[in-house]
Amino acid sequence: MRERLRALWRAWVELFDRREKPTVQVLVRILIATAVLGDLLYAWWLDVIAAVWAPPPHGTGYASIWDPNPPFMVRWFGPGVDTAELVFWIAVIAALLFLVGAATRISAAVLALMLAQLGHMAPEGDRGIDFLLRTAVAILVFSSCHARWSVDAWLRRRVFKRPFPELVPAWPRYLLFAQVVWMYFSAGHNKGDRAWGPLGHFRALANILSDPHFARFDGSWIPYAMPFLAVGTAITVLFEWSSPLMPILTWWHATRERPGRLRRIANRLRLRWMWIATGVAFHIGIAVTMRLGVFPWGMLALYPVLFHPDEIEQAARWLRGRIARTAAAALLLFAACGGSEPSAPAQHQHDHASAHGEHRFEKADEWAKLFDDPSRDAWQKPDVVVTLLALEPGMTVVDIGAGTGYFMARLSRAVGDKGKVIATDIEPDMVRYMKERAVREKLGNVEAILAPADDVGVAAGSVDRVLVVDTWHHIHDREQYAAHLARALEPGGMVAIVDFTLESKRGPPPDHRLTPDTVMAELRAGGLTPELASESLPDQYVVLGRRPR
Amino acid sequence: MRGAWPHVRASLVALAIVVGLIDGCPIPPAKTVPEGYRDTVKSWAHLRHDVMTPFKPLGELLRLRQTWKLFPTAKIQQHRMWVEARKSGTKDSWELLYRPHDPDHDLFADRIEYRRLRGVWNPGTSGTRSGYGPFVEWLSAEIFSARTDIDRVRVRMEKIVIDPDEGGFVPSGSFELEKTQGRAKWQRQREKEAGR
Repeated sequence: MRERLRALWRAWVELFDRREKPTVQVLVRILIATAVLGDLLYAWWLDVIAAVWAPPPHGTGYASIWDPNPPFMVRWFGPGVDTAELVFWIAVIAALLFLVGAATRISAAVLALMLAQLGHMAPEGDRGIDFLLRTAVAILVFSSCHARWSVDAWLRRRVFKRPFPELVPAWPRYLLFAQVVWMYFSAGHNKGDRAWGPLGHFRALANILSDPHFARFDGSWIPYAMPFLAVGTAITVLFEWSSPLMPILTWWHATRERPGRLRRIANRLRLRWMWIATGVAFHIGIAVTMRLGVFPWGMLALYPVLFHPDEIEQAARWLRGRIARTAAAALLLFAACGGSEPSAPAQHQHDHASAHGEHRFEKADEWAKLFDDPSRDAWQKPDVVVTLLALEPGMTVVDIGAGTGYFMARLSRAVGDKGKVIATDIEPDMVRYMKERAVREKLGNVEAILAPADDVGVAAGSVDRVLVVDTWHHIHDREQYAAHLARALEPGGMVAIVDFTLESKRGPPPDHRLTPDTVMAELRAGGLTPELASESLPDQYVVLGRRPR
Repeated sequence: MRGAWPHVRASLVALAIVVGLIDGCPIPPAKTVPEGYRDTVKSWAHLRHDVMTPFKPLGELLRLRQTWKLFPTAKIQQHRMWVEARKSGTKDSWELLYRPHDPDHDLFADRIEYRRLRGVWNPGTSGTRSGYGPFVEWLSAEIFSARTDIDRVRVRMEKIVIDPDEGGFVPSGSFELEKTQGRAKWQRQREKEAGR
């Protein structure tokens, strides 16, 4: 029992010690700041700053004078229109600075405090979405949401020459994720009215949309939509009550290579995507049919936290590709319709990766012609790579993503008869090919195995060396994978990662490549001690990572 | 320090999550549960209060809470606000200035319908909110400034019954939560402010 609790605690610590790209946290910062700023400036445009926050008779912010313990800005500056406007404009400036990422942590803290002051002044104008956005801003105070697309990042890169690390702590995103999940669940279990359930014939949405204080349109369309609104009500309740499943669905999605019937079914049915799509549709539906101000947009601003940064980046790549293709098609159409000639037809269409950035390596015999082409030796320098591994007879070495077994023979010789080479791949046909090749080349100490995409596939502490050649950039959650590598290695063991430089003429498309710094940061996040090998290859770098003893 | 920090951080995160869950734990008001359960519910509420006490200053400073509501009730008994004005010299002739979803009477509609202001005047399940009076006071001042011919403003809530099958709601014809404001009081207030 005690051991189990210890293991659980270790997993908890490890979870919140993870690092990831800052993309999501940065995106959420920008979206939340935009929502807050837009909402505040809309109040200014409507000229209701005093109406909402100033005390009577100038406005409805009665707490400034009726509350025996008024907010600190009122205690300092006295109740009145001037104080309300002062707090409001400080909040606007803080939101603007937060948006552009200038003095981000300070501006976020000031923004959260000033929004809270405004909420204290006018408690009834402080709605649920205000609480939620304020909570999110408060969490982002402790995050690295300014690591990119911010004035802070620009200053650190250009002026102070100390750029933010490639990977930042992931825990603020996890907390925001938990907040979103809890918010929906809490909203679900607080729905006490019969109209939300079968006893009330699921009429809640129809009732709400008929309320003139909230509805955007008059109700003449509602009788025709009653069945859909009943289904919508049921889906809303199901969506909110099922929100605690989201962390599990997300975990199952991230570990989709692992066994388990429920995991397989959930991923096959795309339950995670269905939940997210329902939420997005729900809020867009609210934005279209109801006048709830910033509520739907503020909620949607938090949705990126439901995704891993890699997913967001893949989506951005896909979107850029679509836009480029659409633009190219439009240009061609324009040219075909008699417009000016397109300047440069898109002749070079890279098809290196799918939308998920993953290769398929079926038909190993075909790939062998490419992977085992003798000309590869000139740039891959396999002997140099094997030397860098510092292999000794009797060692166990894993070649991850071994493909057709290009390194197998060299590794086999280096570890000798008493050693062992485990060549892994996620493609069954590659494993089949390597097994046949080991027999063919009489490599008795080689074992070819099928490994999951998200794990090394060997027992903890069972190997001395790991080799990852031209594969690291294909791995989905590399920080987590690095942690798996660290676990697989014996204390003092070493991994060598060989991948293409940004400048190389061969290799994956530029936006799939990784800098050595990124790889080192990822290894560090996984608990390894990284170092860039001084010996570089013509087109590649080698990053070594040691498991501390 | 690096060795201890991940554990400290994980502990703080765990604490934040546990405190949030306790804060948001749905404990019904004692008066809404059957007699036999009231003591249990009260003791839970006391326990939560005691547990949350150390965190109260932070919660108040940032005004945070973990109880979320999104249209918890969807009752069919609702209200529709009427804003009316009476011209100087007339006794019972009220002019309708604003009513939701009434394009012919939409004075200050954008401002009145701004979500934070609606949060103040839209009646809750237990009647008007504390800001309703100040809202009427503010709205009257705006109307008196814009229309010099008006000497009295009346804000009241028409009781309506939501009936989606009939395309919206059915007005009951009866009103409640009425508040009025006279120009004389507003002028006195202005003079008092100007004299300061």
